[in-house]
Amino acid sequence: MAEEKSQASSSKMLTLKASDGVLFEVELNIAKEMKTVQAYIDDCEDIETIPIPNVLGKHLAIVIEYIKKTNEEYDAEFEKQWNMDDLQLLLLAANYLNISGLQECLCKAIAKRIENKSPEYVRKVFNIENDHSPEEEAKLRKEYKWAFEGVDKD
Amino acid sequence: MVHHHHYHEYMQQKMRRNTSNQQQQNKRHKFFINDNIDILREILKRLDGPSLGVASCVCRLWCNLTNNDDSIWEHLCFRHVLTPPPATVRPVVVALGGYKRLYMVCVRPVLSRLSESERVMKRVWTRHEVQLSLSLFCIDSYERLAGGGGMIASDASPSSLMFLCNPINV
Repeated sequence: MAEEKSQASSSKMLTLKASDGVLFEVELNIAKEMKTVQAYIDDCEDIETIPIPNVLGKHLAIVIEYIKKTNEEYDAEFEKQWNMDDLQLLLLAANYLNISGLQECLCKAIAKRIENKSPEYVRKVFNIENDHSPEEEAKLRKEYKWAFEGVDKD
Repeated sequence: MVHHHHYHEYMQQKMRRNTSNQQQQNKRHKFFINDNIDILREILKRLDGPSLGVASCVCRLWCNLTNNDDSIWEHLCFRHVLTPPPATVRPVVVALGGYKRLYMVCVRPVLSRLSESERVMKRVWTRHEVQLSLSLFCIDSYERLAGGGGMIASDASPSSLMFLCNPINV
C-alpha cells in the first residue's frame, strides 16, 4: 500500500548523462538538490535527459547516493571511504552541480586531512610546486614559527 | 560505407581517436586546486589558526590568499561562537587592522591561555570572550596610534593594557 502511494505521488523521473556517457535515472526531487540541474529544468521544462559534462559516471553515482542518504550520521562517515584524489573530484562535482550540503561536507573533510600537517605534506597532497625563494620561505617560517609547533611528522 | 581494404586504417583511426578522447577526458577531470581558487578559499576557511600559518608557506598563491583575504581570518576568529557578532563589528575591526591582526594579537593569545595545546579547541566561545578580544584589539590599536604619533611617552609598556594578552603564571 505504501509503495503504491509513493508511486502515485512520486515525481517524474529524469535522466542525467555523465561525461563518460553513463546514464542515471533519478527522481525529480533528487535532481532538484543539484541547483545547476534545477536551473536547467527551469529553463527547459520538457527536458528528459540532462548532460553533466564535467562529472564522470563514477563520481555522479556517489553524488546521487549522497543526496539520497544524507543525514548527520551518513555525512560523518561519508568522507572516510574516499582517497584525496576522489575527494577533490567530488568537491569539483559538488561545486559544479551546486549542492551546498555536499560542498560543506567535502570542504570540511579535505581541511581535516591537511590540518596540522607540514607544507611538504600539503604540497604533495595537492601536487603543488614550491615557488617560494629560499629567502621568502625562511622569512615565512620565522614569521609563523608558532604555527609549526606540534605539526605532525611527515 | 567502409570498404574492406580501408577497414584496417579506419579501425586504427578510431582507436587513436578513442585514446585521445580518453586523454582529453582525463585532462578535463584532473583537478588542480590552484586553478580553483574559490574552492581553495573554502577549504582554507575551515583550517585552524596554526594550519593557516603553515598554509602560507606552501606556495606563493596560498601565501597571497592568507595575507590578502581577511575573510578567511574573520571566519577563524568567530568560528566557535554561537551567535556571530553583529555586522557592525566588521568595519570597526577592519579599520583597526583587520581580522588577521585580531587573531594574532588577541584571539590566539587568549586561546593559548585557555588550553595547553592550541589545537585543542572544541569549546564554544561565549559572547564575553568575544567582547574581551574585541576590547583588547581596540586597546592595541589605540596604543599603536599613540606610540606612532609621539604624543605619549614612547615607553608605553608599563601602562600598556596589552599585558592582558600575555600568558600568566599563577
